[in-house]
Amino acid sequence: MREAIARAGHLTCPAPESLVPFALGGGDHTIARHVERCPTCRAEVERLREAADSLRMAASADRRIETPDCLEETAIADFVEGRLAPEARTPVVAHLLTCARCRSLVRATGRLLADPALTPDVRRPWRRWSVPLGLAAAAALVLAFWPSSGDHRSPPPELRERPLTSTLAPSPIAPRASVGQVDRLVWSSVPHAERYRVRLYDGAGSAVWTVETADTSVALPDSVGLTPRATYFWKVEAQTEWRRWAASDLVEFRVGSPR
Amino acid sequence: MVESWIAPLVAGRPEIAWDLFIERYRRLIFGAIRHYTVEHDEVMDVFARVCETLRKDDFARLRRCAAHADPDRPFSTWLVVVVHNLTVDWFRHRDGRRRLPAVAATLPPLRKRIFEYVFFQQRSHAEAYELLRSRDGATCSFSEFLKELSATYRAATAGPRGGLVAELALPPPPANVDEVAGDPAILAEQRTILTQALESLSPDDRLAVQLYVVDEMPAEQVARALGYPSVKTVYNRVYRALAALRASLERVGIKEEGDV
Repeated sequence: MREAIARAGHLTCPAPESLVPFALGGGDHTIARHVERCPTCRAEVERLREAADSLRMAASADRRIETPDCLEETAIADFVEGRLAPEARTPVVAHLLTCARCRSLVRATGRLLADPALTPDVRRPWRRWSVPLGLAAAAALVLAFWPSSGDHRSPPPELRERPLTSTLAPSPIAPRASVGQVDRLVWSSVPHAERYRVRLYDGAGSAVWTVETADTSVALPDSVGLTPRATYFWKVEAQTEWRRWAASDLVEFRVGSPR
Repeated sequence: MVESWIAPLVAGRPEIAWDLFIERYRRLIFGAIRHYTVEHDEVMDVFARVCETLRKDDFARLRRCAAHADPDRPFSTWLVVVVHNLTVDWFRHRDGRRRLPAVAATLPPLRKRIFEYVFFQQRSHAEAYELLRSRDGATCSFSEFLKELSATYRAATAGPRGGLVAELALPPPPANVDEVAGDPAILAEQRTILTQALESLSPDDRLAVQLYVVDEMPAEQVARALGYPSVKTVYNRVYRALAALRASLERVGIKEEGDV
C-alpha cells in the first residue's frame, strides 16, 4: 500500500500506519488535513475503517461471562502495567484473546489509571520488603508479642511509618494502655495546626466516634459508651494545610471500670 | 514507600492492618467509585461493599494480594481492578440495579428490551437479536436491530451515568452498520474468516488489534500492556492486521476491491 500511495504521486503522504488512529477516530490535525486533500489516503482510510468495522461486527457474538478460567485481579493489574513475566504472559494473552469480560476489565483499569482525579493516588510502588528482611521480621515479632491486655510498663509500639512529610504529627498523650476511666482525649500540639481530627475505633476497627476541634484535648461525650475491659484505638490528625493532615500513630487503650 | 498495612496483617493484627490500609487508600477507593457515580448515597453504599468484601473471610483478598508482594508492583493498580469489579457488580446486581432503570426509562419498548438483554443480562448482540425475535416477537431485520442497538447505546451512555453504563456491556456496534450488517449467518461466516486471517499474526499482535480496534483501548495503554516500544508499534501492527483482514474478505468475495 505504501508503494501504491507513492505511485500516485503523493510523496508527502504519511506512512500508511499513521492513518490508523485517524481512521479509528483519533489522529492529529496534520493527518486530518492531509486526508482531506489526498484521495489516495482518503480511500485507504475508508478501507481501514471497513476492515475495523468488520472486526467490530464479528465481536457482536462475544459475551461477557465470568468463567473459572478468568484472570485473577493481580494478573489483570500486572498485564495492564506490562509487568508479566514471559512465562506468565503466554496464558494471560491466550485467555484475553478469547474473553471479552477480562478484556473489558483491562480496558476499564487502563481508563481508571488514566483518570486525572486518581493520578495522585495511583502507581505508588509496592515495597513490602523494601526494608531489610531482618527489620521486617523484628517488626513482625514486636507486633506478634504486643500485649493484648493493658500494661502500663509496655507502651504500644508504633505501627505506622512516619509520614513522608516533614510536618510534625501530633502525639496521643492520654489515654494509653490500661486506664481507670476516660473522660478526655489529650494530645500534643502541632505548630500552625488549624484544627485536629480525632478518631476512636473499637477493637474490630470500626470507627465509633470522630470529632474535629481546634484544641489539643476533647471531652468524650456521654453518647460514647466505652465497654469495660474492651480494647479501643484512637489517633489524632492535625490539619497543617488545606487538605493536608499529619496523622499520629494509632494508640491502644482499655478501660478498667465503667465510666 | 512501605505498604505499612502488610506487616500487621502478617503478624495477626488484621484490624490494625485494616486501619492503616483504609487510611492510605480511602481516597483512591472513593476516587475509583466516583469515576462511575457521584451520587453520595451510592458512593457510600459501594464503599461499604468494597470494605465488606476486602474484610471478608479474615481479609482473604488482601492476604492473597500481599502474598504476591513485589517491590516494584504498584499496589494501587490491583486495588483499582478490585474496586472497579465491585462497583460494576454492585450496580449490576440487586442494590444498584434498582437505580439504573431510570437510565432506560425514556427508551421506547424495543430499546428497553435491548437494554435489559445487553446491559443487564450481559447477552451478546447476536443473542439479544435472537431473543428479541423468539421471546418478544420482534420482526425487525438484523440491520434494523443493529440500528436500534446503536441508538440504545447512545441513549444509555449519554447521561451522567454513561461511563458506568458503558462498563455493563460489550463495546457498541460500529457506527456504519449499513455497510457491514448482513444477517447473523453471514456474520458468523465472516467471523470465521476474520479469525483465520488473524491467526497469521502473533498472539500479542492479535490482542493488540482486539484491544485497540474492538475494545477501543488507547494506543498508549495497549503499548504499555504489551511491552511495545511506542504507540507507533501498535499502529503498525493494527495496520498490518487490518490489511490482512481486508485481503481475506476480498478473497472470499465479502468485500470487493475498490468498493469503497
